[in-house]
Amino acid sequence: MRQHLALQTAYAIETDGLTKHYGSFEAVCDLTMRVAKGSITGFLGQNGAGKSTTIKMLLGMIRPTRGQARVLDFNAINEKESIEMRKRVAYVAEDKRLYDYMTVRQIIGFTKSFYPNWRTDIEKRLLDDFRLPLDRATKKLSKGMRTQTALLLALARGAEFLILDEPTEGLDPVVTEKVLQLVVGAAADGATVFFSSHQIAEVEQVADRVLLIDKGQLVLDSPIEAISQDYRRIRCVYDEPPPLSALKLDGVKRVAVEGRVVSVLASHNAHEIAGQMGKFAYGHRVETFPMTLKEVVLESLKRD
Amino acid sequence: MLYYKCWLESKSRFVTGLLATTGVCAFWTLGHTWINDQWRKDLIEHPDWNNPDWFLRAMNDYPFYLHHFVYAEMFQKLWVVFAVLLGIGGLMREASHGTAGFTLSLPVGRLDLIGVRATVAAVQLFTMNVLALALIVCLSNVMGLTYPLAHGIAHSALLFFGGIVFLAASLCVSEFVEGEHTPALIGLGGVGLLYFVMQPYVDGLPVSGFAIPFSVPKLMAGSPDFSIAEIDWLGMTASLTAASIFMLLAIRRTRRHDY
Repeated sequence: MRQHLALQTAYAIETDGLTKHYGSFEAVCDLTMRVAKGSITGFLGQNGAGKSTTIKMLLGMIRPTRGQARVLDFNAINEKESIEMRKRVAYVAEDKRLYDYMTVRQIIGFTKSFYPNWRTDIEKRLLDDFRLPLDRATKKLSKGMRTQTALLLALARGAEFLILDEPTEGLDPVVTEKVLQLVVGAAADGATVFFSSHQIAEVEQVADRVLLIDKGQLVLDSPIEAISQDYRRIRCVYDEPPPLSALKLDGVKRVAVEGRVVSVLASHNAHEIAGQMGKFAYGHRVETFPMTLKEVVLESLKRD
Repeated sequence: MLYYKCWLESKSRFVTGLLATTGVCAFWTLGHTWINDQWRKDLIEHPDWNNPDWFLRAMNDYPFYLHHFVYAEMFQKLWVVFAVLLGIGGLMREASHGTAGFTLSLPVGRLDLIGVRATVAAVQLFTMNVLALALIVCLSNVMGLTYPLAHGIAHSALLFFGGIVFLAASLCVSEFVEGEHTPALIGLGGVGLLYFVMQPYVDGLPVSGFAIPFSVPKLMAGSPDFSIAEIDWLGMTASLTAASIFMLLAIRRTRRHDY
């Protein structure tokens, strides 16, 4: 433990070359990412992109084929360290299934027994807010109620770090909003939140950083603010498009050429890139447009 | 609290097993007088019937009668069925129910998960043995019959230690086979094969060599006139070794599998 304290970093998650193969299928490929402590990070990706596999590797449920993962400075691949880490982490799984043979009261009592820092105040507040029927078997709960129970079990742990795998999937807008407010509330109380989603609007609403994964690879890692401040689409119509080598500049994420129209997705440095494009424009205007998170995500997911 | 979870998970199977096994014990104990009367009538009315070897002794020797119908037959078979059923569960089953993620996010090791499950199932099976024996002794007294407690304890112990391999095998199958009912079907299929296909064949062979794995029922029943000298130590060692191997395989699988 002393060694662990000595090695504390500013990151809740650090992965290096994290990879998971299932036979010839690469679910996660060489994933290197950092999630800062105290942040709310949205982990975006399409279905099957590798979000859940990554989360399961972080929690020790899946053994990586290769690579390293540290969660709250604990080696997530080492079982002993993973158990220590899980004392400080709360996880809500994608399907939010709970033990069918327990009632809400029983599963709260069961979960509470593993966490000495259990927050009875949060438990009571959420039981009131959600109006959960304590003596009803969890199998008889609606999907919304099951999600709310799962969130109660996660939030009342008093965890430093919340990992939520698609917490709002399948929920109606009212419950979705409640869940997002809980996420924000947990972060305001000092917890780090890492949540996966394929709902871009949700990420935009609550996250301060976004990670985008596609086919197991990280394709976007940016603060949400930087998306509106720095990301730009730069477009120009040419008589003769410039050589692509001329556009190999810092900040160029993608270049698309459609006939005489050249469109560049820039993560930063838009001014210099527009200037370079202007050198080949010969009288045509170079246009620069701000971008939304949705546009950036869709651009990043486009296949070459 | 893992014990509490395992108890909640398996209590309906355990209670069913308890009712079934004690029911069988009660039937053969309370029914002894009536069954014996019927046998005596048959013997008088049908002197030409070719009665099996055990028949005359069972009529006159109550401990032998109980051994024959309870420890070597009905109770044993039911006990084995419930050993298989109580061993079903674990992370593979949870994965198919969608709860493995919740369980594995708790700060407990995988070894603890399977260890607690095995312990709870073993205690439940042991309880079935103890309650069955207690019931037999009590009901025998009610019926004015004497069943030596030492005899019952010895046969319960043989049945438990000889048959614990079925629990270990079931735990092992559960860790390898996905699905809600598939591990139970495989386990019960194996028991059926052993008792109804292999056992009649093995009964005609000396209990040695290749036959040992198929003679577990004989090992669990022991000799009707129990004595320490007659315990099949080789068979017991083989059975406990097989149980240990099944457990090690189950542990290895639990620790390494991706859920």
